[in-house]
Amino acid sequence: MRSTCQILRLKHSPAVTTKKNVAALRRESYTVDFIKKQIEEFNIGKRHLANMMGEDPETFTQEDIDRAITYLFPSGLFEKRARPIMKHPEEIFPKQRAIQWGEDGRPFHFLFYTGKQSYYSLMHEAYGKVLHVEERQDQLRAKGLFSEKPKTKDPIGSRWLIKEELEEMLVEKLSDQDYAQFIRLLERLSALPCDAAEEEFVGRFRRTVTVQSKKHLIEPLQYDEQGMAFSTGRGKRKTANAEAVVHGHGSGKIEINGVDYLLYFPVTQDREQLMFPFHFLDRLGKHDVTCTVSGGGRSSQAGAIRLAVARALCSFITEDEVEWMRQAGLLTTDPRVRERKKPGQEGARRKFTWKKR
Amino acid sequence: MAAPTVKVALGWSGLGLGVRRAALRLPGLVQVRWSRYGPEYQDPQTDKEYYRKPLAQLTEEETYERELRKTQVIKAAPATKTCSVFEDPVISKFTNMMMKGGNKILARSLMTQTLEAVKRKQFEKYHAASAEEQATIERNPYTIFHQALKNCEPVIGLVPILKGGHFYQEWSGWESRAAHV
Repeated sequence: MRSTCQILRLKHSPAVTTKKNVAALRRESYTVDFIKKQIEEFNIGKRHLANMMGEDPETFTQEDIDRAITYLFPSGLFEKRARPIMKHPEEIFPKQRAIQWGEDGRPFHFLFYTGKQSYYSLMHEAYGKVLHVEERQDQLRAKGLFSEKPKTKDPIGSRWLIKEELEEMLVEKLSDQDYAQFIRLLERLSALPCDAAEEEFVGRFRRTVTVQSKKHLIEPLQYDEQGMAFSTGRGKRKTANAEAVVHGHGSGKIEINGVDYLLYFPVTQDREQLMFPFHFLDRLGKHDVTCTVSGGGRSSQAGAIRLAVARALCSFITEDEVEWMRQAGLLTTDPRVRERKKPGQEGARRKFTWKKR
Repeated sequence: MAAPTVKVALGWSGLGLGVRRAALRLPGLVQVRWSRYGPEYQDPQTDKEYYRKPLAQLTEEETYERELRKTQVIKAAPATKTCSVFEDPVISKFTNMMMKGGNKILARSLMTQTLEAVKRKQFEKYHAASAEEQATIERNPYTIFHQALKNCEPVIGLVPILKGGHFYQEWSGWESRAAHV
């Protein structure tokens, strides 16, 4: 009996091959029994690890495992994927197909010979639902009970699955056209008046979109001895680091490293950058700022202070205003840094003068 | 010497990333023109009035756009942009083009000196002129600059015209020439 393990190719074959290593070039296959054994071993190993760390084996979570492994096997390797890991075999061994044909060689699924059986069966199912809904609509129209219910536009809280997620779901490779076709069919289905079952079917392919501003943690206000509110913020830009303390009541004075801002930043552009967060919130003469900055040049120091001040101001304002500041680009750290010089070129991008001979 | 295809490992400093789409990347090829921001990052909107507009006055498209922007990651505002009313994008662009060797201080000071000189000249003319002429003299240097830029734009240009199955490059725009002069 031949080994009937039609399983997707999992690992890349090694680049250097010798004649003796022909066996290694074969597709590595993981049987179901192998995976089960790995899962059992993982669970036993998890309990052993919990005992070793002196914790309760029943309530030992994945984060605890990660912490224990980093403690027991400290690694200084830069590549995170090369460090020792201990995860559930489901996450390590990629998902594979079970055997898709029986003893006689006949495939189980009726769409096996299309090559992408899960994808086509999904399309088939979705289209069947579309036809079913349209048939129901026709019946209602024939009876005269049909009412044109306007479909409420879905507010932005969810998005369609992306191609990679769909591939992972179906355990099959898809092309861009396949994916586009599928999304178009789902949109067509969602545009029609659907039942609960159809809504649930469409809901399986939608993911929630996070609202970005929720990711920011707003520090609460602090109060000093006199009872005046103040708040601190940190900012970075290129190699400049800044820390700003914004006081609740003031006259618009800004002090940097003990020096007045007019003396520290003789250039107008830098002072405009310092004023930007205050001007945006219409709070120009109402706050006092004391800040320290180090590193970088004049422009990056100004940018770092701007970010620190904007972050500190978040404690004084409403959530809506925080969102406005974020959309104006005041709360994002600028990721642009100096690009390194490459060998064979004069600078980061500039090449040497090209000479024909 | 052929530039090696350098693949730069991008390390983000404290940024929340969206899903990094590899839509424009062909396998086996490394992009040379890249940006520190991922493709999902949107440009910031620094105009104060855009945010101060009350919700009741917004159209459906604008409310949809607002909701959409709440879910998008935004780039940091550049150092040259502020929400100031005195900022003019045309003047900023012109200053950047005047700049040599990254000397923005010099370029900007030259620009402000020029605008001030224009304003002074116009005011001298204004004070020396009679009441009827005073109404025609433009004193705002920014409007003068914009008008000067518009005057410098080409009036006639080459246009491909199909004649007898072939495309010939012919001049067009003659009609507006007389009005312009």
